[in-house]
Amino acid sequence: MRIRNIVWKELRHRKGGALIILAGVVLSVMMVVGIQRVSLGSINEMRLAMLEMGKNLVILPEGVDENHYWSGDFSRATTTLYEEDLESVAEYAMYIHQPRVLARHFQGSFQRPVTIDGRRLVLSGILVKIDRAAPAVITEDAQRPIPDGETELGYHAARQLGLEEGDLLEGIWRYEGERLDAPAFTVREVRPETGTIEDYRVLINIVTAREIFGVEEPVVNVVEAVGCVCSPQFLPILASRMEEWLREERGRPVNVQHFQAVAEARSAARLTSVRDANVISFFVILFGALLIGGYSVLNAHERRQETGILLAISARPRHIAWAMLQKMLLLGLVGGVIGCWLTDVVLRHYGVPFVGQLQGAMRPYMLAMTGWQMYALAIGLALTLTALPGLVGVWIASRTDPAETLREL
Amino acid sequence: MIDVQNVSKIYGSNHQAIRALDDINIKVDRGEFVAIVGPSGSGKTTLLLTMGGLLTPTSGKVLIDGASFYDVGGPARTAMRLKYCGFMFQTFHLIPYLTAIENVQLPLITTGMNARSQREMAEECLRTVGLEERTNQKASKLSVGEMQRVALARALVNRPGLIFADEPTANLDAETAELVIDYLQTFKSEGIAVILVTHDDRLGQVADRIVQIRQGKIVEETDKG
Ligand SMILES: Nc1ncnc2c1ncn2[C@@H]1O[C@H](COP(=O)(O)OP(=O)(O)OP(=O)(O)O)[C@@H](O)[C@H]1O
Ligand SMILES: [Mg+2]
Repeated sequence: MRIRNIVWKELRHRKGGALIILAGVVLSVMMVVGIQRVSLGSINEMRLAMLEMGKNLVILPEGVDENHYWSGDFSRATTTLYEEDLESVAEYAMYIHQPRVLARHFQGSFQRPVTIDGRRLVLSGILVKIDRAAPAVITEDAQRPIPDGETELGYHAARQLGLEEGDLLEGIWRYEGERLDAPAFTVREVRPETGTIEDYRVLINIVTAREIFGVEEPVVNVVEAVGCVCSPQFLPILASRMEEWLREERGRPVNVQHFQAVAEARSAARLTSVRDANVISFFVILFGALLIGGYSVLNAHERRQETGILLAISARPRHIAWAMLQKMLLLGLVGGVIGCWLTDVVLRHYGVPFVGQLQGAMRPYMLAMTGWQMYALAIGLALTLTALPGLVGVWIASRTDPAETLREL
Repeated sequence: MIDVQNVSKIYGSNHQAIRALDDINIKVDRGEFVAIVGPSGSGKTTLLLTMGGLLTPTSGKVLIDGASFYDVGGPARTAMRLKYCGFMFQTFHLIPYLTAIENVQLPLITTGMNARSQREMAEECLRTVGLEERTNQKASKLSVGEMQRVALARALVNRPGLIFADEPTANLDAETAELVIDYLQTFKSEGIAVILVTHDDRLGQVADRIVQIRQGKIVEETDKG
C-alpha cells in the first residue's frame, strides 16, 4: 500500500467533500469554457463579418440600397450594370493612383431572390469566383468561373435543401411566384458556415443564371470589391468618387456602399462583449477557488487524526502534502473532464458551433482553437483551480503536530 | 537501548509556562518492561511522546542506541522512529475507512517495500494478535478490543526495538486487557523494550520496573527484577 491508496480510499469514504470539489470544478470549467467559447465564437463571427466587409465596396444599381443587398433582393433595380463596368472601376482605381486596387478584386454577379422547393435563397450567378476567405492572396489563379451544371451552396442553403457535396440539386424554382425553368446542378461544394447572407447563396455560373431568367445582355447587378487593400480612411472617399465617376463619365447611376464604418463599429461592440466575458470568467474562477480552498481547509481539519497518526508512525510532511495534492489534482482532472463534456453538451444544445470545426478556407482568419486545445486549457484551468486553493489545506495538513493529535481523544 | 538524559519540557512561555517534565533521567534496555505511573497531569504522556521522538524537549537528550533523537532533522527523526519505535494509544488512532490489514501496513507505506511483502508482514502481525479472521474488515466496524489488537499489530509491523504504549488497556474490558497484557509480555520476552503509561494495577504487576512521576519529576523507581 502507498499513500495514494489511502488518498483513494479517503475519497470514497468522504464522498460529500469530493462531490463539492467536483461541483466547484465542473461549474467553473463550464462557465469559463462556455463563456470563452461563446466569446471566441463571437470574435469569429465578427471576423467573418469583417471578411464579408472584406468586400469593402459594393456597387449596386440605382434603386437598390444596403438593405436590398443584405436581403439578396435585387429584383427592384431600376437600372442595371454590365460586365464592362468591372473594367471601368478597375480603370478608375488606376486613374486615381490606387495601384493596389485591381480588376481582379472585383467580383461581378447577377443575383436574384428565388425559392427552391419553397426555401428562400439567393441565386448568385458569378462571373468568377474570388476566394473570399483569402482576399489578401487573390491571384489570377484564384479567380475561376463555376463550371456549367455545377453549384456551390452556402451552409444553410445546403442544410435547408438537405444536400451534400456530390448530390444533385433539382427542384421547383420560383422567382416572385413565377415558376422558373432551371436545369439540375451537381453540388460541388458546401461552404462553411459564416453567419452571413453568404450562407443562403446558391452560386452558379453567371451565364446559366442569366439564361434561367431569360436575360441576354451581359448584365451584372452587383459588383463587389473583395479584399482590395486600401486604407480605411480612404475608403469612403474612394466610394463617393467612384460613384460620381461612374455616374458622370460612364452614365451609370449607381450606389456605391462602403462597409468600413460598419465593420469597425461591430468590432468595437464585440471587443466589449469579450471583455465582459473575461470579467465574468474571473469572478467565476475566484468563486470556484474560494469554494475549493474552503473545502480543502475543512478537509485538512477533518483528516487531522489520520494525518497525525501517519506523521507519528511513518510519513513525512512532504508525503502528506503530496498525497493531498494528488487528491486535489485527481479531482481537478475528473472535474475538468466532466466540465468539458457538459459544456459541449450544453453548447451543442444551444447551437454554438464547436470552434474546432471551422474548416478549410476560413481557418487562417479565425481564432481557430481546436477542440483539443480548448480542452487542454480547460483541464489546465481545472487542475490549477484545485491545486492552488488546495495548497492552503495542504499547508495546514503538513504542519500538523502529531504529538498534539495523539493527545486528542 | 533508550537513554533519557536530563530531559525537561516546558509548555508555553513566561507566566503561563507549565513545567511538564523536570530533569528526567531513565534508561531502558532491550527486553525490559517499564511502567510509568503517576497522577493525572503529572507528565506521563509528555514523557512518552518525548521518548518516542514525537515531542521535542525544552532541554536534555534522548538517545536510542547512542543516536540522539532531537539533534537530527525531521526526516531523519521520522526514519529513526520507523526503525526503532512502535506506538499504541489509549484511543487506538486507527484510520476508520481502512481495513484492519491496511491499518497494520501504515508504518510500511513509505518504506518503498512492495505491496506483497507489506501484506505478508501485516498478515503475520495480525496472526500474532489473533485477528487473522478480521483481516479485511473496516477498522470502524471492529469491536473496541479488536481495534486495540489491530493497533498492537501495527506497533509491531516495522519490527521495532521499542514499543511505547499510552494507557493501552484503559478502554478495554478486563478480558481483552489481559490479552493485550499477555501480548506485551510476549514481546518483552522477544527482546523488545516495552514502555507504557498506565493506571492499571495488573500492568504494574507484570512490569520489571515501575517509574512513578509526579509534577514532572521521577519520585520513585521500583525495580522488581
Ligand atoms: N500542548 C500543551 N500545552 C500546554 N500544556 C500542556 C500541553 N500538553 C500537556 N500540557 C500540560 O502538561 C501537563 C502534563 O500533561 P500530560 O498529558 O503529560 O499528563 P499525563 O500525566 O499524561 O496525564 P493523564 O494521566 O491525565 O493523561 C499537564 O498539566 C497538561 O495540562
Ligand atoms: Mg496522558
